[in-house]
Amino acid sequence: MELDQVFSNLALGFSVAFSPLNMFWCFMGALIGTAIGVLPGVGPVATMALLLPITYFLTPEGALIMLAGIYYGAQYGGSTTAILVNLPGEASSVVTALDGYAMARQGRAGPALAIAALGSFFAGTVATFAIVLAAPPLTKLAQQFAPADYFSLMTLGLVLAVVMASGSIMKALGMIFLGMLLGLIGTDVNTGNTRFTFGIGDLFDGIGFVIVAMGLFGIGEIIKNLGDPERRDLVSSKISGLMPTREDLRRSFMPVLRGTFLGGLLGILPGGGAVLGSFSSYALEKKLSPTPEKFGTGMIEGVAGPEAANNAAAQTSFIPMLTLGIPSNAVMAMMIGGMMIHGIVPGPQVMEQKPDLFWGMIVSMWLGNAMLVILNLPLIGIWVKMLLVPYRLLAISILFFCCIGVYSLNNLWSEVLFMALFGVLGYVFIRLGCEPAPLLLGYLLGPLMEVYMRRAMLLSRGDAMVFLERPLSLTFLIIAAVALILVILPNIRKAREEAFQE
Amino acid sequence: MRRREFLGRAGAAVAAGALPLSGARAAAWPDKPVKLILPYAPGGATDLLARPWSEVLSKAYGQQFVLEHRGGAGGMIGTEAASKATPDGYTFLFTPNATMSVLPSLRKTPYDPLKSFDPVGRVGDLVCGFVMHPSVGPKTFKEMVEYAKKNPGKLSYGSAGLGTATQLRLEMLKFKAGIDILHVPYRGSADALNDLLPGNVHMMNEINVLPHVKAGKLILLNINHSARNPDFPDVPTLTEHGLQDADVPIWYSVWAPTGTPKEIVTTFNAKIVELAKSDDMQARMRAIHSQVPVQTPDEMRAYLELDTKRNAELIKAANIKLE
Amino acid sequence: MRVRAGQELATGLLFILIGGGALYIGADYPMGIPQRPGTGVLPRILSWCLVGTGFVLLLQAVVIEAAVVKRAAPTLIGATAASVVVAFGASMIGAEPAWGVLPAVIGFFLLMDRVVPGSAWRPLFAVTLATVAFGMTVDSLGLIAAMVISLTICAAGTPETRWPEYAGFLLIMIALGVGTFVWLLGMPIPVWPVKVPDWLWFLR
Repeated sequence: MELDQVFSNLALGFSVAFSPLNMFWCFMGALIGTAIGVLPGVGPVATMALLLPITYFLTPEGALIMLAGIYYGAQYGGSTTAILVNLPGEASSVVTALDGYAMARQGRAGPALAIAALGSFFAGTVATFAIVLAAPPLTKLAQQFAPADYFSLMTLGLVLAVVMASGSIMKALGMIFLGMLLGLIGTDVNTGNTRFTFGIGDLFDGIGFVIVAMGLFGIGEIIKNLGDPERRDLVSSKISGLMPTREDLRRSFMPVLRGTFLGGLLGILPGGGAVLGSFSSYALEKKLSPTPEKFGTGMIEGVAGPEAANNAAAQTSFIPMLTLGIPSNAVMAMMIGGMMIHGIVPGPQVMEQKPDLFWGMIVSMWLGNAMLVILNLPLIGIWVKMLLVPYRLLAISILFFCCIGVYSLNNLWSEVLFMALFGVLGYVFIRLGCEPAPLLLGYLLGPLMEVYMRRAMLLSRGDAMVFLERPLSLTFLIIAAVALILVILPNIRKAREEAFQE
Repeated sequence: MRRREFLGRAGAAVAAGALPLSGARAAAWPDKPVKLILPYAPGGATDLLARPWSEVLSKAYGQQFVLEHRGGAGGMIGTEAASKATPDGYTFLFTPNATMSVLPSLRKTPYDPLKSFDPVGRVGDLVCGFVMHPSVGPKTFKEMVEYAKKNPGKLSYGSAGLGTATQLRLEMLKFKAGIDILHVPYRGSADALNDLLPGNVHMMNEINVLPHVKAGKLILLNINHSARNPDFPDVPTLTEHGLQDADVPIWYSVWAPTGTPKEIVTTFNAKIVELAKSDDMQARMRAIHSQVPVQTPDEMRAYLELDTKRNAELIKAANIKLE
Repeated sequence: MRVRAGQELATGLLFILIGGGALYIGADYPMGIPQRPGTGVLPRILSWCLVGTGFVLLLQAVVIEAAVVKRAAPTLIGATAASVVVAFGASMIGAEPAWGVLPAVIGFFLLMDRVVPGSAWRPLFAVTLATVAFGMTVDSLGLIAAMVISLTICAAGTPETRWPEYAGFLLIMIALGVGTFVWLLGMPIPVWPVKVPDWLWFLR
């Protein structure tokens, strides 16, 4: 693409996005998104579904800009609850909760939130320009992925989750198997058979991710904290500085850069792209850190990297939607719904036929991210004050938000009961020292892997060699194998275990 | 208002258990938001078609027509929910024919289309045809059939899932043309398109491919419907290719849970017919490659019976099983 | 006494219990052919992997501290015996032998308490019950009643609750909950009671 064309495209985009009305919608989207996203359990998809009807009344540009704003806003709000109360409302903030919540416990919620905001903004800015420059070639790359490649990429993702887990490798491995197994509950899409449903109708569709995450993290944590007064008082006792120190910024810089790159690249892929982005970034930071054993205890790198990665991925996941009309995740499906309302059929023709809409939306992504930072930095003080509420009351409100958040997904009371079950399981895992994050990753990727495995086998007419014959797939599998061997090799493992022993 | 509603409901509940409010008069209908249950996830073809309808209906009646997505189990879960809804004229099912005329022939369903529902109105037929990825070779329908005869099972076709009308379209083609094509089920047509564009799978038959045909990325081999499509005037129909009755229609309709007051069904049908004829609606439907055939509830019932029979025969003849 | 040995032991048993259960339930899921892997392929592979991981964890526990077995043995044997008896008894009277899972689950919790001491029984029961209560009442008794019942049960889960303070906080939460979710977001949740809950069918 010609460079002056890039600039003329950007100029067109800026003129659309910076029109007063569109700026207003962008701001409203970011504001509403943040406000609702902060409610635990109400993630971007639910928020967008709730607010989709409002966009009926806007111009197509205004509608899409607002929806995109809601998306970032809700995702940002989700990170806020992940850090403050250990409630990841969404898959990509699961890893943010690991170190972010640990930081909050040490009274460093302010810096964690600020770094999350700044890292996201940086990643968003870079990703926006990446989209402008690289949309066509990146799309080509994503298009080369065949089912076998996806399968191998996800295998690699799971292996990385084992590698990055703190504590026993066997436990992490078991949690992944368990997560994948739980993910299979429901109707098998390929055959229509039901699995592990015990004949319960509300299980035919499987258990929603939010239900599992809220149960394991939210409810389990309440049980633990109520029974353990010493540790939880730490949360509200001392709160040091709201803004990150120079040291924090220095330590976050490289992780943000790496996270942006990794997230931006993986975000283009349909399926688990954004999730893999934040998990891989966490694994990478841990590998590169001189003190990997401290991850999970409040390392700012563990917040900066994944937050940058998931925001970059959120941005680049628009690429397949805008250029191919393919929704790479549920949020993009909602965006397509929003476009359809206005009679725009997403696909390759949008860029040519509606350049103002296309480029306006891309520039508005950057604008939306900037607004989020402006909106949220002053609010950090207020969020952190929330932690001063005594835990006996905080516990009650978290419980309520979990319950109503899950109930409002489908208005099914049975899902609240499932959450209670996962709450008990979450508490058991805490007692047993098992980290729930690998379980959640397995839960998300397991069913996808099965789909891709079957599809690859079907297309190769039953020849399993397809996983080794495709260069992309082979590369992923080799990396996965090497990583696994490295952690399992006895001497390395011994060193690790010593490192993890307190 | 809320309070009065509660008292009213509580009173009715005490008086008659959980029976619907009596005295719902067609003249006043609707005096509160109406719910349309869609048995699939948002973002798909059903959503695509339902959005303009909910907008136009909301405007026409001055009451919100709310879409509720209840996806899962090939549409069974949402359809069952609609069949069990209170038949008070405020909950309807908005569905493609898959849940009504295909699924019951393939598996046991927790509802019986014609016993659990009363027909309300046809709201759109999706018009499409078989598309082919250019990397395979065949450029016309005839070449495709020849290619498939020479290389049995080599071509692959992506459907929106097991037991969907898109699968039946392939089965019908295989059956009528006497060829063998590998069926690859996906989770929805967007998922299938994902694999069609890079050529991982070779063929599809769903409206979401049409923008890519326009952009020259895919080849449209035929039109399934009886008449050519004005958007693709050069593409012949299946009949022109010598395959009689080889279309498997994908049609959308609104159904009321049995017991819904008759007057409401009648006025609702009249409104749908009136709106379907409007230029606004016609234009909106054309934009998503859909047409709206006008039918009364009785015609709909007959059409469903015909469609069910035709699909059941195909399922039996082609020996289609879910497992 | 090392906590870690107990944790590994209990985790191992949990994995074996769940993996074994999944193998039992999924025993008749079809395996298909290579070109079309069936419903049962992945569940079976995963179940075996889970059981295998569980055994490795048991082994690790013993290596770390052999004495952990001695602490766990009475509960383990008791629970196993109890579930066999219940399963057998249930099949004798024509009921599901799956009832044998119940003593196994109870046994697991007792065992966990023995090898990893310090279970928070009171919050565990209160919070779980509170969540269940919310689910069982919200669509019938309405949001306000559900909140009163569920949050009060939760508050009873800790001795620190100061009831006057709680009462005030509950009012704020109710205002916030109804305001945000019902009025602002327009979620279809009843505010006041609309019917007798299904599980109280005998009051109908």
